[in-house]
Amino acid sequence: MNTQMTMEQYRKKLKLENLVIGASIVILFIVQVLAFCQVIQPPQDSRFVDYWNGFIAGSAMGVLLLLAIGFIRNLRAMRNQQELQKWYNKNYDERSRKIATQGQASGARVFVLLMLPASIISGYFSVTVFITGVAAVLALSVCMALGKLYYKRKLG
Amino acid sequence: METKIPALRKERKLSQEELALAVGVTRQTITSIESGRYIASLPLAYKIARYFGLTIEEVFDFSEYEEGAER
Repeated sequence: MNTQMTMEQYRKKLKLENLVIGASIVILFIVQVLAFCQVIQPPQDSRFVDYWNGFIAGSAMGVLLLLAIGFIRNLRAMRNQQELQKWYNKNYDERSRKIATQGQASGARVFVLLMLPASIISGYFSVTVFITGVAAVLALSVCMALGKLYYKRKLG
Repeated sequence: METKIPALRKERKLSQEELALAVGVTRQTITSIESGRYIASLPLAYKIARYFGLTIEEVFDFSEYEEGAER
């Protein structure tokens, strides 16, 4: 019945997470350097080339910053047992998980209920928007049904 | 659901943060349980009760779930 991981397993998970984050940071940094040296460039066929270049560079810097924060946070947690325990509690807190699960389920239901009439109404104005809306609703509905089926089997 | 957690904490001079750390949840979860806004899962209720050296029934008030009790 014990589904919780031990602190050692959690430390290993953070270590693996940091490995992935570290690799992402290196790759993104190399791409940024190459872009700065104009070895690689975003598509130039847009009328807003400068804006687009700036947007891509800014996004990359933002993601790099977020990754670096995550990397340092994990590193700090791995080096301090109390910090590790706190971080574990925060990530596996049952109330937070319940809030996330219920929030996501409600959000998905509301999305489907609102998107369906919205897609039908949009059909009077644009075929593309109608098809996109219906496709999004269908895709989400299938994902929700599959998730329901999975947990129905899992929870017997 | 009412609980005796605040009284038990006070008795042992324990903060919500310390209890939370000991039973593996956040301080906010302990606050919610104490105020009755959140009902702890069975494993968490067991952990809290064990932490105080009591049974679940001694920590949590189940009277509203007794047969015949008004919901």
